[in-house]
Amino acid sequence: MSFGRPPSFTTFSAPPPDRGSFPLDHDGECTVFMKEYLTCLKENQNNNGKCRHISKQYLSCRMDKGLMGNDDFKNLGFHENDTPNAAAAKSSSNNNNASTTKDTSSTQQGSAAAGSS
Amino acid sequence: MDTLDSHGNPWPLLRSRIKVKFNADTSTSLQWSFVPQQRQVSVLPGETALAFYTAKNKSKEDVIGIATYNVAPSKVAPHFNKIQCFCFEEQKLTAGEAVDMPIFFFIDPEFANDPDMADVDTVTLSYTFFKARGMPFEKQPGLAEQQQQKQEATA
Repeated sequence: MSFGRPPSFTTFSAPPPDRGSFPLDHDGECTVFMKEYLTCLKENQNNNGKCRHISKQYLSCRMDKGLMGNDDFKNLGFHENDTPNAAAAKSSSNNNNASTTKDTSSTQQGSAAAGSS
Repeated sequence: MDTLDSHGNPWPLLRSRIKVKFNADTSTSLQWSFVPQQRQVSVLPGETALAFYTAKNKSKEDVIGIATYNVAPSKVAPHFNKIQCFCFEEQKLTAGEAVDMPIFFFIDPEFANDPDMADVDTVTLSYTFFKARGMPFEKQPGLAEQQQQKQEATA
């Protein structure tokens, strides 16, 4: 559908975005996260890797305010090691693994209990 | 694998970060200021990234704009993936309103395996905002508007 597109006297070099357009944040509800993200970039030589946890917060804010369709962060390219805890404590990754293992084992216990009953 | 890149260095297994830079333009008849909020963002292939522009309607009327974008160098375009942005759909700003416009994108992992991309360390994303069709034209349209009118006449 080409409704609403301007005539192409400039070449479009790629198709439209996968998830379409972001609704505008007219009331600036998530601006605080945007500002935090921009500050992080300035402080980290514009390194996206170091600021992704704030990107995640920004997108999360948009989802909460209905400014973005809800989606699993895994589908948006975010994984366990993008959380602030993991980013800050890479050396103590053992702790993170331990907590993950705990969760898994409790789930297994849960399903085992369900299976036996 | 012992391939060499354009500098005669061994092809790196881990690509260093790619600098994505941002340009912003508006058509002559669009009275909006439109600027990127960051000079650049350095990303790894496959790593999703967020970037922002801010647009402000400086006119005294509500205006509907629409943006297009371009990726340079053009050979990178097939590797450039936009997950979500503000382009291609009409965006309305009330008189005097300023709003943040995010883009959420990634350069696909295949970029790292594409020998054509060996010399690319900077990608430039250029967004241009136009007045949406149907908006009243001003008395003296700028070049962009003149072309738009020509297109509409022949369409």
